[in-house]
Amino acid sequence: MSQKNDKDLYVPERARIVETKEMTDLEKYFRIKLLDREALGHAPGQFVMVTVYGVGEVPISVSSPPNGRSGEFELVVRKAGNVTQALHNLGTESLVGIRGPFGTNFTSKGFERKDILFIAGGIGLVPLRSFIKQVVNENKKYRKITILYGAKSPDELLFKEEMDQWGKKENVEVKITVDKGDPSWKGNVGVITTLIPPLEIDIQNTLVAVVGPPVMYKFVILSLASKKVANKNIYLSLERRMKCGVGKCGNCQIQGSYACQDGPVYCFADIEHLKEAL
Amino acid sequence: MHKISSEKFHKVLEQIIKDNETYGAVKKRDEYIYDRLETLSDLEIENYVPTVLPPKKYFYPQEEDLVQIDYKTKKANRVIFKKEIVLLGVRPCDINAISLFDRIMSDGNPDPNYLERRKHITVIGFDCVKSCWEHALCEAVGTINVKEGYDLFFSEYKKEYVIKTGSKKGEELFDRYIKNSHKLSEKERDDYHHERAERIKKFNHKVKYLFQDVSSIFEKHYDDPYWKEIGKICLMCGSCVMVCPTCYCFTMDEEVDLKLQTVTRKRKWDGCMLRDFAMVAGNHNFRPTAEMRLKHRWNRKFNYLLKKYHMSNCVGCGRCGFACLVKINPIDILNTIMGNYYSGVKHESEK
Amino acid sequence: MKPKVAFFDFASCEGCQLAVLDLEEELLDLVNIVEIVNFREAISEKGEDYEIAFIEGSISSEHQIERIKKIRKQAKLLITIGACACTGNMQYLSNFFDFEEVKEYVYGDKAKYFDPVQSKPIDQIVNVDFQIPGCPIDKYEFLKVVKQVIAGGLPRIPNYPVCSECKMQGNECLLKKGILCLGPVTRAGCGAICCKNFKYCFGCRGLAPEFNIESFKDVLRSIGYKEKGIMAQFKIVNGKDIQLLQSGGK
Ligand SMILES: Cc1cc2nc3c(=O)[nH]c(=O)nc-3n(C[C@H](O)[C@H](O)[C@H](O)COP(=O)(O)OP(=O)(O)OC[C@H]3O[C@@H](n4cnc5c(N)ncnc54)[C@H](O)[C@@H]3O)c2cc1C
Ligand code: SF4
Ligand code: SF4
Ligand code: SF4
Ligand code: SF4
Ligand code: SF4
Ligand code: FES
Repeated sequence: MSQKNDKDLYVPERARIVETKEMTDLEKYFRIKLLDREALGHAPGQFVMVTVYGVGEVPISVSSPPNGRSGEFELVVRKAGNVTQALHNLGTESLVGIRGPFGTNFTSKGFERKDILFIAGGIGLVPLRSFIKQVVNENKKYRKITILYGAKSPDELLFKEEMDQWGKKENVEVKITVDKGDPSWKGNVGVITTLIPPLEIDIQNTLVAVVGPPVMYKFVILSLASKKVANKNIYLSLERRMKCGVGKCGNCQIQGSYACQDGPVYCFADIEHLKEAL
Repeated sequence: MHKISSEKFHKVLEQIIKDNETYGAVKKRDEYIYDRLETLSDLEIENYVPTVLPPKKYFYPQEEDLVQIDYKTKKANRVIFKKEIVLLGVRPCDINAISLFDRIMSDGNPDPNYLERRKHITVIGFDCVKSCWEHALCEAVGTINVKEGYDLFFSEYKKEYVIKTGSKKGEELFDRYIKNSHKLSEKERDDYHHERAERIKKFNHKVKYLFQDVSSIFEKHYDDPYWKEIGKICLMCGSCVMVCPTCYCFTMDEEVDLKLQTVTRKRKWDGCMLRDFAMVAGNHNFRPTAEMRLKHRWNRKFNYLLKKYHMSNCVGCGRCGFACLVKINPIDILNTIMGNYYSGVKHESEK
Repeated sequence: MKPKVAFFDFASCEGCQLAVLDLEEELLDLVNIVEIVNFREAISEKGEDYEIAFIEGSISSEHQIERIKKIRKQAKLLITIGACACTGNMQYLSNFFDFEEVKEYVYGDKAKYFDPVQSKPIDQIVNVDFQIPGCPIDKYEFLKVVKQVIAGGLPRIPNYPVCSECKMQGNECLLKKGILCLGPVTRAGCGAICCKNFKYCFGCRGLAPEFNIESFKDVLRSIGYKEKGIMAQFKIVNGKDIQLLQSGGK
C-alpha cells in the first residue's frame, strides 16, 4: 500500500485542495484530490505525509473512509506549529504535497454481526472518523455500534452534525461529553472515562477502537480493564514524531517498534509490554 | 585467498591512490580524520586509531538533498548525489558498520539515495593487528571479523599481506591491481586463521561477560538503575550519536531558494540524544530525560536493532566513549548492566 | 506582494547589520522577495509600514525603550538579531554591578545629560517573536530564516548544542585538550565555526534550550577550572541567563 515507486520514497505527489472549512479556532477541514493519480487507496487509521512546499512535511491521518468521492480524501488539521499553521493559511486551489498512505489500519474483520465500540478523545475523533464512517455506513453488518466522544468544551466538538446523523441509525448509539460545559450545553459533563462504566459490554464480542491524546489512553485502558475487556480486542492509534513515514528516520520509534510502520494503529495486546508506549 | 609481499602491498596502494579519488585516515593535529589521499604517505597504516568521524560521511553525508521541487508547478524530482570514490584502509569495525547500513537501507522501504550512492563507493579494508585504543570493544561484539561490506580486504600475516575479495567489484580490482600473487595453500590458510585468532586474543577484552545474551539481559533490565546514574551526568550534547558509524537517524527540512524557483528537501543527521527528536507539537516530549534517551540509544544498539538485523548495532569502535565528555561508554554500560543482571541487582520495576 | 522589512539598531557594534550587508549577491536576490523599507536610521521609524522588524543591539536608555515599544506596535514579526539583542551580550555585565557606580564610571558627572538604564536584551522590554543569536550572526542562518518566513513557515534554528555540530564537522574536541569550551551548553547553528578554527566556543549563541549545567561544571572542574573562571566565561555573553540560573529560575 506504499508509494508507486520505491525510488520516489521521499518525493511528494501533487494534490489540490478542493474545499476547506474552518471547524473551530484551531481545526480546519481540507478536502484534497491527487493530481497525478486516481485514488489514494487508504484504509481507516492510515496517515499521509502532507507537505507545505518550502515549509515542511507532517503526518496527518486520513479522516474520510475508503472509497470516498472519486479519488478525494479529507483531512482535519489542528494548528500546532510550523507546518500546520502554514497549512491553515492555504485555501482552495492551493497545491500541497502528499506521500503515502502509510502505516497500519483499523479493521472490523472478524467482528461482523458483533459489537463495535469507538472511543475518541479530542482531536482523536479525526483519525477515528474514517473507521467510524466505514462501519456506520454499513451498520447493518454489525450488532451494536457505540460511539463515545469527549472534548474539552462544547465549542471544541468536531463533526457535531455528523454525530447526530450517526446517532439516528437504529443500532448506533452516540454519547458525547465535555470536560467543562457552558450555559448552552445540556449534555454530559465529565472526562471521557465517565462514559465507560455505565456501558454494557459483551466482552467476548466487542471490538474497541480508541484514539485520543497520550494522557487519555492510560485511563481508558484502566476503565476497559475493569470491564474485563480483553487486550486483544482493543485497538489504538499512537502518535509520535514522524519525519520520513517509511521506517527510516527513527523519530517515531517506541522501543523496538516503528509507529510509522508497525503503527500507528496497534492492537493493545501487542504493545502492553512496551513501557514507552503509553 | 592470496598474499603479496609488504613491498608489493605498498605499491598496489600507491597505484590505487594514483588512479582513483581515494580517501583514508589522515592525521590532523592529534587525531585522525578521513580525508583525501594524494600519496600513500598521507595514509596512516600502522598507528591507526578510529577517526573523529567514521567513513559513514561518504555513504550518508551530514546533510544531503533528497528532492527538488519546482516552486511554481510543484513538480518534484528526487536528487541523488553520487561520486566514484575509493575508501582505503577501512577497519573491521567500520566495515561491519557499512554492512549493517547496507542491510538497514535496503530493508523494508529501500532508501534510494543511500543505495545509489553506495554503488559508487569502493571499500578497501585493512585488518587490525592490535587493539587500536582502550575504548574499543570490537572483539567483544564480534566485529573484528568481516563477512561483507568490503570489496578488498588486506590482513597482515607474517610480514606479508593476505588478500580477500568480498564482491565482484573486489575481484575486478584484484585482477587489475594485484598480479603475481601467491595463492595460499590449505595449510597456510589454516595457519593464517590460527595466527589471526591468536592475535585477537591479545586485544582489549574489557567486556567481562559473554555478549551473546545481551539482548535478553537488556530487555530484562530495562529499568536498570545504571540508566538513571548516567542520565544524571549526560550533557545531552549528541556527540556520541554524531561520531557513531551505525547511528542513522535523520531529520528532514526544506528550503526555498531566493529566486523562489526551487524548493529543496534535505535530510540531516539527527539523533535520539537530542531534545527535539521525540518531541511533538505542544512541546510534549516522549523522551524528556537523558536517562530515557540513553536507555533508548543503547537498547537500539544491543537489543532492538540487534534482534532485527541479527548483529550488534554497536560495532565497537569506541568513538562515542572517547568523544563523551562525561565518559559514558559501551564497555561500562555492558559491564554494569550485565553485571547487575548476573549479580541479581534489582531494578526499578522489580522493587 | 513582497513583505516590507525594516532593520533597527540599538546599543551594538553594528556587526550583525554588516553581516547582512556582507551577503552581497544574495542581498540582491533578497530584495527580490522582500522590500527593505528601513535600514539603520536612514529613514525614521515613525509611520513606516513594515511587517517584519529585525532588531540589533540592546537597550540602554529610556529613549530606546520608547523606540522599541513603537517598533513592536508596528511590526507583525519582531526578530532580534545578534547576541546584544538576544542575550544582552557583554553590555549586560553592568547588571552585575551597582548601577550608580556604573553610571559614574561611564559618564562621570555628565550622567544627568543622558537617560541611561541598566543594559537589557530586547525580550526584557518587549515581546520577541524569534531570536537569531550569534556574535555576530551567521549571515546564512539569517537568510535561511528570511526564506522560512517568506515560504509561510515559522523560523527554525537548531535546538541542540554546538558539540553536535562540532562533531558533524569532524573537529577534534578542544575541551578534551583542556580548553574551556562552552559548546556543550551553547545553541548550535554556527557550524561550530570557532572550534573548527581551533578557538573555543564562548557561547555567543546563548544557552541551548536544554543543557546539564551541573554536570558540565563538574567536567570543567575535573580539568582544573575554578568556579570563578567558569562563571566569568559564561558571563561574557550569557550573563542574563546565568543570573536567572543562579536565582533558581530557568
Ligand atoms: C500518525 C499521525 C497522525 C496524525 N494525524 C493528525 C491529524 O489528523 N490532524 C492533526 O491536526 N494532527 C495530526 N497529527 C499531529 C501532527 O502531525 C502534528 O501536529 C504536526 O506534525 C505538528 O507539526 P508543525 O510543524 O505544525 O509543528 P511544530 O511544533 O513546529 O513541529 C515541528 C516538527 O515536529 C514534528 N512534530 C511535531 N509534533 C508532531 C506530532 N504530534 N506528530 C508527529 N510529528 C510531530 C513535525 O515533524 C514538525 O516538523 C498526527 C500525527 C501522527 C504521528
Ligand atoms: S556524548 Fe556523552 S554527554 Fe553527550 S549525549 Fe552522548 S552520552 Fe550524553
Ligand atoms: S555505539 Fe559507540 S562504540 Fe558502538 S559503534 Fe557507535 S560510536 Fe562505536
Ligand atoms: S575497534 Fe577494533 S576493528 Fe575498529 S579499529 Fe579498533 S581494533 Fe580495529
Ligand atoms: S570542541 Fe567544544 S563544541 Fe566541540 S565537541 Fe569539544 S566541547 Fe563540544
Ligand atoms: S562556536 Fe560558540 S562562540 Fe563560536 S560562533 Fe558558535 S556559538 Fe558563537
Ligand atoms: S517516521 Fe521515520 S522511521 Fe517512522
